Amino acid sequence: MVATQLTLRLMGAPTLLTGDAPVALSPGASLLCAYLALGPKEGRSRDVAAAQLFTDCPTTSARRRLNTALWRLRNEVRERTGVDIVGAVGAQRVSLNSAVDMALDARVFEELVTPAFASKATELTKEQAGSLEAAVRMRHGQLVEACDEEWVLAERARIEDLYLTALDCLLQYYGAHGEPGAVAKYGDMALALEPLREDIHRHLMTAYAAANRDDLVERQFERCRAVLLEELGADPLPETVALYSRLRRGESGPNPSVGALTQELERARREIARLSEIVERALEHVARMS
Amino acid sequence: MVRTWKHRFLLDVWAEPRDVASLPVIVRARVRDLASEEETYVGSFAEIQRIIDARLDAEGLTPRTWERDQ
Repeated sequence: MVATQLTLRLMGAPTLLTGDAPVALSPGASLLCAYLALGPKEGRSRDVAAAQLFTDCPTTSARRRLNTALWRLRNEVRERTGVDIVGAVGAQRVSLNSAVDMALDARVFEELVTPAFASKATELTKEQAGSLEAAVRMRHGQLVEACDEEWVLAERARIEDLYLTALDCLLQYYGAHGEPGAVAKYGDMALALEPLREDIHRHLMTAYAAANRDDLVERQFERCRAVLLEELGADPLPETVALYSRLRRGESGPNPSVGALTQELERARREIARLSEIVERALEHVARMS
Repeated sequence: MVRTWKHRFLLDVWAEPRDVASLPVIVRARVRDLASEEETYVGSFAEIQRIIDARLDAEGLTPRTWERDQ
């Protein structure tokens, strides 16, 4: 008999799969499966599990509901796959069956991204970039989407950080390889999650400049400025303005010190004053002609 | 009608990475009201307090005081 290969997809709505086919589970069974899969290998305490999953119930009622939920999860998965997914249930702890061959997408995702983070983003190998791309394709939404219970929040934040870092690495990598289309793709994905992260806006501007797309540098700075104004009522940080000024002149790299930053901003101010004088003269010229 | 007794907000706080290490990091945050799914970006504690106060006002929880403000 061939063992059934199960995959538990948690990056998005929790879904159990056999091969590529989803296993139809009730929402409660799916959520309990996710809860146990994200727990420690040795399982979770029954009392803690009951309290975390059934927060609105008194203790005895919560324990009873946990037992029912475990029974339902076991039966639903067994009926549809023949696999006994719930581990040997003790009096104190509860877990998934460690003998079941089940891949967890969040763990696979982590294994794909982590090695690449040891390298500088612009110096990734093609294989490392490929791993990052395979990882970001795995995300179908937030970890255990639509569940905002406390047990999922910390792990969700950790996975989201890894995901955002992977996107940041990819946009820098493709900037260094002169591929503005890929830069835009991964930049948009990152900013869809964190539109106010100025370091990502700066990395995008730098990546577009590396790909010789001054028009996109301009557009990115304007997007950064507009979103900060609209959402926070704030201006971009001085280094974001200074970077934009440098990239417009065809120079690259950040300003490493306060002195260099001040010098850059003074230079931008002089440039704007010079442009302002030219515009004033042009307006006077038009006024004289009309 | 059962009155809502718990009001949940998710608060994401981050420090904007700086290019110049000697400059102070800038703290920004996002408050998500889990009842309405509304997200608001803020740059101070005062703004967070205003969001929570507005929600409690809308629930009719007045007059009120925080435990340690009494």
